[in-house]
Amino acid sequence: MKVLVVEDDDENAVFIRDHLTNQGHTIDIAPDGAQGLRFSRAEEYDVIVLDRLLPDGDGIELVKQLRHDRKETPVLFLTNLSGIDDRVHGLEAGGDDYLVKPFALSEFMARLLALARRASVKERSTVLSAGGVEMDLIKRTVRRQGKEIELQPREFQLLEYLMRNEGRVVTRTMLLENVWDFHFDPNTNIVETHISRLRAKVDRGHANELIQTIRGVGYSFRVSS
Amino acid sequence: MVLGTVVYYAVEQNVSSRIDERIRKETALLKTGFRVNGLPWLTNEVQQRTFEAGSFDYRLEDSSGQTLAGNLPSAKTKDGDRIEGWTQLSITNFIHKGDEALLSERILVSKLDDNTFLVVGNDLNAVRESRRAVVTAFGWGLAITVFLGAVGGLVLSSAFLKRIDAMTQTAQEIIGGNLSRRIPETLENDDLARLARTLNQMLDRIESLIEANRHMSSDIAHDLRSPLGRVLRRLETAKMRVANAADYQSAIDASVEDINGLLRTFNALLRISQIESGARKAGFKNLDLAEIAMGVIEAFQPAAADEGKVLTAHFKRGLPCLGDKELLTQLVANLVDNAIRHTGVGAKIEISSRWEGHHGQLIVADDGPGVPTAQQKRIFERFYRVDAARRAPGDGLGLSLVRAIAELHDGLVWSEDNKPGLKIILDLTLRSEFMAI
Repeated sequence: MKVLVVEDDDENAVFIRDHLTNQGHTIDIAPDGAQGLRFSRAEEYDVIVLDRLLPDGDGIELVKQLRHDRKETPVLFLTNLSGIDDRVHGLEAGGDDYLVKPFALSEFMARLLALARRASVKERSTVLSAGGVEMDLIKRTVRRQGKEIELQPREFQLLEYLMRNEGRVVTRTMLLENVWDFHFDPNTNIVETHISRLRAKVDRGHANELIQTIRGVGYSFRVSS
Repeated sequence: MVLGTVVYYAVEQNVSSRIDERIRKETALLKTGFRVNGLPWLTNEVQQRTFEAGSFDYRLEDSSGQTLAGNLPSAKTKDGDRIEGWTQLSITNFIHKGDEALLSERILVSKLDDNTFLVVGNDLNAVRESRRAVVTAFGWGLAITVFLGAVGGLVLSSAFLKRIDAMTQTAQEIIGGNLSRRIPETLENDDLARLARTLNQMLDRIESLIEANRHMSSDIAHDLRSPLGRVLRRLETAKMRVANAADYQSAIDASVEDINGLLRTFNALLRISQIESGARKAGFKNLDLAEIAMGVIEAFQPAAADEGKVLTAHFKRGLPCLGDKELLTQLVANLVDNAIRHTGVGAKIEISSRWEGHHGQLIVADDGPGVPTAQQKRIFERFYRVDAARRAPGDGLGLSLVRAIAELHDGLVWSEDNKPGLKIILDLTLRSEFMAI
């Protein structure tokens, strides 16, 4: 994965770079918006990590410019700006995700990877198929090994999100945001309870556990254990 | 005064024309008599009428100007020619039926034939009198108006000045640090009263912002220091003790968890602060709070069931209002969360809606242990824990966030005894166009 990080905080940039290169990805660092724009125009990145508080302005301007140039590169905002409206502004400007500092590394990586893959996977497919499970998004039906599974609407949404991110880890906060549109973390673990119900319907009676818990990080739909 | 002038001239006009009319009539009468009865009759008639009680004055003269009868002097121009028609005589020292000197007389000089001229006149006393009457009346009117104006102005302005003084004094006390002072409001409805009310509202807002700010500092001091202290102690202990990698690892893991917890608390406090400062109102949209609540209930139901609690919804009414979807979702989630956290196995948690006039209410009621009435007011305070000893899960900020969001939406939230259990009510103004009754 080729990543561009536009960040003026050296420590943070180095922290991200070290981790990403450890994982086998390539990373470029731009210390301000102008350079960030130049980099993004010169190369094709899988994902751009963008701070909003840059020395030469708000990172939002970079995204606006990118989108204006018809560049669809996914953008993850990584910023101190945590105001209620800030996330909305960032996403409206063309950003794809928004993570507030300080962040847990696992959260950051999960979101980064989810964004990077999104570009390549055809979003428009009406059928999701993996590990013997087939989801018809139009008919709203699910089958595993040909046998139909009865799902509640929310369970269906949950499975769809997991399957779209097949092989990747999705965190609890990602699920809360994308499946429930909750932008907060309730004390009660509603994600866990829904996952266990979904698991009961999808995995029960099958040797292969498709819906897995990744300790300390989140969940994953994985074909191989 | 304009009115006075108009009346003055109108009255004068009226009186003058009436005098002329009468003179004309008298002249016509005498003319007819002359034609019928001749000059001797007229001479006699004029003589008689002159000395009768009546307001006319007469003169009958021949062509040479010789007086035949009457009491008026001849009307002549400067060159000595006789004036004919309408004119006015300025007479001095003229004795009119016993009166003192008159000043002016309106006369009509009519030629009867080549040798006779008749003059009929009327004094302009009446006009003068009426003029004087009007002037007097209006003069008094003006004087009284001016007087009242002056007195009234004095009275008003002194009352006015007193009120402004009161406002200034209050403002100075507030500047001096007494934030709770307010400008005294009167029952009046003038601009000054409106200004006073607006200023007081502004002061209310400022006071609550400052209070909130004060809370923020003391909350940070209190509830963030303890976890930080814990982390510090743990890390220092790990450093001191001769330990293996596994011990270090667990010390680090536990510290990371504590710090994450701290961050969550910090973010929650920050969020409450942002909401209290009214940051978000511009993004309000039309929505149905009951619908939002349904979504939240559906999300929490499995979790509640897993803990042996029953979560149900009874929405008789929708709750159409203006608000922020994200914040209201979090509000309902916090209430449901709170109910689940503070009830035991077998508890029933019910969420319902109700209309009270133009207000809609969302009610979250449980039949758990409840909160003692004395403490109910305080549960919406930051970090307040009913049972201080028990470290219930959560950061103690859930309900203070609920209150902040409610207030941002110009609503109210309060708790009641559910007998048994706790009932929390959120009261909001409904969008009236939806209330088709």
